[in-house]
Amino acid sequence: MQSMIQLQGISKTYMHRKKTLQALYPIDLSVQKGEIFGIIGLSGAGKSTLLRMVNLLELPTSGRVYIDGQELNAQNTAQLRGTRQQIGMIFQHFNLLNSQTVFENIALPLKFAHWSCDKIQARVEELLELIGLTDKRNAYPGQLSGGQKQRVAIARALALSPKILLCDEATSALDPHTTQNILQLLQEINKKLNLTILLITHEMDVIKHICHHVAVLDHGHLVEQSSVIDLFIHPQHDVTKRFVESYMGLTLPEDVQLKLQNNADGQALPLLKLAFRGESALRPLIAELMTHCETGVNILLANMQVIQQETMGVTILMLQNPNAEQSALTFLQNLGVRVEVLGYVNTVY
Amino acid sequence: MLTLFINATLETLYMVFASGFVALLLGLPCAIILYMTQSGHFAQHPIFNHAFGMFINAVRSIPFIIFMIALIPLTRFIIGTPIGTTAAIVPLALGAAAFLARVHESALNEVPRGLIEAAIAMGATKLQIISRVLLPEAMPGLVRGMTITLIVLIGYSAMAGVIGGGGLGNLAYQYGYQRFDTQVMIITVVELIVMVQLIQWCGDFWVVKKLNHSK
Repeated sequence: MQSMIQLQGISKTYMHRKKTLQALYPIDLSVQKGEIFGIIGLSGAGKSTLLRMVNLLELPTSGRVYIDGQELNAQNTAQLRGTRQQIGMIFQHFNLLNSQTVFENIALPLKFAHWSCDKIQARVEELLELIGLTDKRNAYPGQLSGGQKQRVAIARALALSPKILLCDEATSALDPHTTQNILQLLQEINKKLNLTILLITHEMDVIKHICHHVAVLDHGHLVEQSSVIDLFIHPQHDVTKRFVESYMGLTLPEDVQLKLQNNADGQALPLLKLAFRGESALRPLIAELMTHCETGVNILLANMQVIQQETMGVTILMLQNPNAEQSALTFLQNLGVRVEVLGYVNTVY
Repeated sequence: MLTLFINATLETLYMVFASGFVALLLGLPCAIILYMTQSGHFAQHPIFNHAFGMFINAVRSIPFIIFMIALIPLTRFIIGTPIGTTAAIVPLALGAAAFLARVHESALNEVPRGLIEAAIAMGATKLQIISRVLLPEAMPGLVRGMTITLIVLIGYSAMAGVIGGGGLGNLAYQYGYQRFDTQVMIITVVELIVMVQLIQWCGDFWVVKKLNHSK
């Protein structure tokens, strides 16, 4: 299958007063048609730069950008304008024209593309319907709430029926409730229009709710790329682990952290992290573990998430029997649970 | 006496609005060019931008009364004579255009960069960005800039009056200064104050009523 967006060896170096700053190290990335692809990273990781290269708002220092098989770097100005009309974009701060009404804002890309007045009229009405703001047609952006502004921005981005929608921290300026509304709208249009969506965010919640695939960006490096549920179950890179742990509330209590040591000494109790998905999430796992391995179990932390209709859970527990570690590991692994020994807790202080 | 005042007032209004209009035609395009050639903007050309900016600054740094005299050959070339109300429009318009270019440049810079970026992402041409995004969004600032320029022009036009431009400045100079006619002086001053207030009020009214969509 041909990918909708393909980045090959994209990198970016800024020159500033004879100092060079490498914002992005060569990155390969491909986004399939019809999927919602998320890029997550902390601020300053280079997400925004990476996203802006997809429609060449930012020129890469090296590498190529392909949109639906077409190489963007090879296009002249007029061709590039045509390609950009097929790529909608929404922003953290909406970027609506305050001097224009909702209607005029949505009509803007159509005017740029020289549509006739009646065609513009019909298309804008259709889009107002889609975002559910038909009654705000003649309002100015200053009279709208943040969520409504982002809806208008979405309608504007969709006006020319693009193949791709780029979202630059589209929900970061919104409250949690409005964020959910906007995410739902994005999900709806993704399904309805089979639109490919590439979004960047620093919120794990956005990734969890709507993304199919995710890439993690850290200091200009693409450190990890997987399906969303895999990312939650076995995050590989430190940054990813931190994202998942803080999202799921899996940070160990301080007193346990203090008593944690790396090697078993026959006395310390093993601390295990279990990650499971699908049906094993629903088994009475702990009860079975206790009888099978003849050990008491102390559950320190647990969290369960439903990610794209699939259940996954993480439990951090302490075995009360220091000698049960091996049998517990074998037992759990046989059930398809991912187990990680976090360390040993010394309880004889 | 009354006809004297009416004529002088009409001359002043003619000088101010005609030169204001020409200044707008010259100054706004200069402002747009200054704006878009800044480094990092959509038609960036830093060397040209600096050179052009220095030229505008040079014009602005010449005191108007000297500028007006220095421009006499040009005025004679365009109008045919360096004396008279119409002739005064040439230096007034050029001086005001340089002023307006800077005022309008800063008004354009008030438009959030994100809007320009959004327009580029929509595939807009440079002309479309200017006409459909930049100018409508900067309109309140542009109107305010024009108001200030007209008020500055009232001051300049009085100076122009002294060297044969006519208008209220000339009246005040001839009657008030050379003949010590205090009454004429006072009336002229009051009239100028009223004129400035009216222009300011019209400009503000336009900005607040027609261009303010925040509430």
